[in-house]
Amino acid sequence: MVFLGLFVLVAAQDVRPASVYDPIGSRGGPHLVGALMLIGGVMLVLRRLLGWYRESPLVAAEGTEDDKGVPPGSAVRALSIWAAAVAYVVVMPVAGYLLATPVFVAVVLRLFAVRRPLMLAAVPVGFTVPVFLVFVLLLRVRLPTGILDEPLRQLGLV
Amino acid sequence: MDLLQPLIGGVSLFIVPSVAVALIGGMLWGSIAGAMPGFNQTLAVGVMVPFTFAMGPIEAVAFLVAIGVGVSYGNSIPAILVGLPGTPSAVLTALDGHALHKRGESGLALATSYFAAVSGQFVSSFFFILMVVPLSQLAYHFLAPELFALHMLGITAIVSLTGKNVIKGVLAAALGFGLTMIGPDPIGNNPRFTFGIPELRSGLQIVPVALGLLAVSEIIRSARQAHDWHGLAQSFSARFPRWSRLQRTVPAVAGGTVIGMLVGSIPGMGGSPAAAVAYQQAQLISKTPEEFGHGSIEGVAANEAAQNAAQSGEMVPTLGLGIPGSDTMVLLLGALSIHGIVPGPLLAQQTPEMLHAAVAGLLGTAILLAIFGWGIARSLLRVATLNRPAVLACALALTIVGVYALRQSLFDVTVMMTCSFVGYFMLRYGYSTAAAAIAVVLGAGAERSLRTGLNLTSNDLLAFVGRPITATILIIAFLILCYGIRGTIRQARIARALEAVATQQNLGTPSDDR
Repeated sequence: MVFLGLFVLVAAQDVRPASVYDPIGSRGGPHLVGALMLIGGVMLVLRRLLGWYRESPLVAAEGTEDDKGVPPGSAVRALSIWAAAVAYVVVMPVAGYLLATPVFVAVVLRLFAVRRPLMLAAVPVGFTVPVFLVFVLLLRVRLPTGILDEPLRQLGLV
Repeated sequence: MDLLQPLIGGVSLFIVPSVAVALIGGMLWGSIAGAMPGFNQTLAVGVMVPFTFAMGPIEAVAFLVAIGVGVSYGNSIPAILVGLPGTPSAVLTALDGHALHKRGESGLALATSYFAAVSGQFVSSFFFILMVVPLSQLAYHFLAPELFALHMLGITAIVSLTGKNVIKGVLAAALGFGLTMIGPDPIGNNPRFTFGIPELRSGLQIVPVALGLLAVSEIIRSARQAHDWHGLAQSFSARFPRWSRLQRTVPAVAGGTVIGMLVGSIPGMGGSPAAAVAYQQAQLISKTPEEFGHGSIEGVAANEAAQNAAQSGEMVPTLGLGIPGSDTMVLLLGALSIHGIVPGPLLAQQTPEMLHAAVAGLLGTAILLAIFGWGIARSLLRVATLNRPAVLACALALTIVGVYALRQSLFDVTVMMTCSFVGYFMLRYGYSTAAAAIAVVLGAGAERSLRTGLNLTSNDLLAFVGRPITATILIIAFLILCYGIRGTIRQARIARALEAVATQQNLGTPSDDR
């Protein structure tokens, strides 16, 4: 937050002042946000350092906790799924929705340690096809077709 | 606008086929989503927000409100039958309801939940009209300084009441404000923070940012754990009990409804605190307080009535003042922005049909639940034990495709994924994503009101804050902030005390051994 605050304050210098005078101006908001982040960030750092000095190096967690009574959470799995989603967004225009989506859903299931082949095949296909039909036929939204553009055109689905 | 107008307007929407379909669809999806443990209300609404672009604004509002009401009802089903609350607000229902189920009184527990939820929802819909109409009329007389004060009230309430740490809440809100500053300056139209990226010139859309911060971040956080609830479901038989058995829940339902409505209408409070307060109140007035926590139908009734009434409560600041009462309400206002409706204090005055749609959503879904709710309760056990990884994978893919479909823009999806990454770490480290998302909705309006208001008062800050209504609202905002700071300090003291006890116990163990 300290660095983000500094970044906002520095980047705010590039904002052109408003042509009409007002006491706050175009830079006022960014300056306020940057200052809040900087001051708040410094306060958090000091609070943490003070906590370490006074008590123990262990700091109580303040974030949303994982479910109790089940295997502990894995940040690697969560971030891998996020990365898979980003890859899906990148690949979708090229491969098209109909190819990218089942692969993405299967990859996510695999990251969840799902091993049953039936599940790995049925869920991706069972999700992809109905959603495609809902968007294309019902909502009249053009989803990326990618390399399947020509066959889908011939089928009248584009 | 008189009090009857929204009621008549809302009821007249019941016979519009598209609204009726939206209500039924929203109620069914909400009940199903609520019955899935870990699929909270924000996620249930968030996944469906992109689909509302294909609807008219009235249908969209009715649909999203119906989802919220459905979730509040559906979340009690896994709580009672499996012991897993569908959402955090059903924790106390799980405590008493599951105890009743284990005693073989599943029918009584489900019927209590059904009766309380439907009654709470139905009665609170009228409370909603009583509260929102005077508020929205008040907002009509507001000028820029008052509007700025209102925006500040909304943000400070969320910052103070949602998180454990007010500093982190302020930082989260600052982040949200910062995001609204990307794009044109609301007064001078100068580009800000665009970094030469053409897509940033018009600013960020509310829906991708809000969905990234609130819904996708929660999916990613849930993905940390790979467990499944499969195998917990057991077959059960449930018959609707005689009225004489439910009769003693009436005071708890009445208390829960009033508390839920009032607590829910405070921005940042929502269903969980409302349910907790109503539960305690019901225990105080109960003739059998010893049953609470061990299978009390009054406990289930108070909790369920409060949760559903809080739905109506959350809508009061959202439609009355344009201040989203919860993260779900941020998504509702975001959905309105898809249809070109600008969220703000004049929303109900400028677009009264949105108020009618909200009444239709609250009241219509209550009536639908009264008709179908009992059947839904008996059939949703299987939903509670759906394969969790499959649900999360499909929810993630659906949100991505849905956001793409809004404007056929991969940039919007990129924005959503970036916000979800930030949101995941905010959730993990105790920064309120709700505060950030609400600042995203209110930020531009707050800056515009501040700068326009200062021009209005000839750049005199004292004249700006000295206007009676502005000063009153700002003082309330300040008091709420002080309350939040007091809560943070108290939390820190409790944490220190607990840590000291734990340290003492650790130190004491070896000597005990000796």
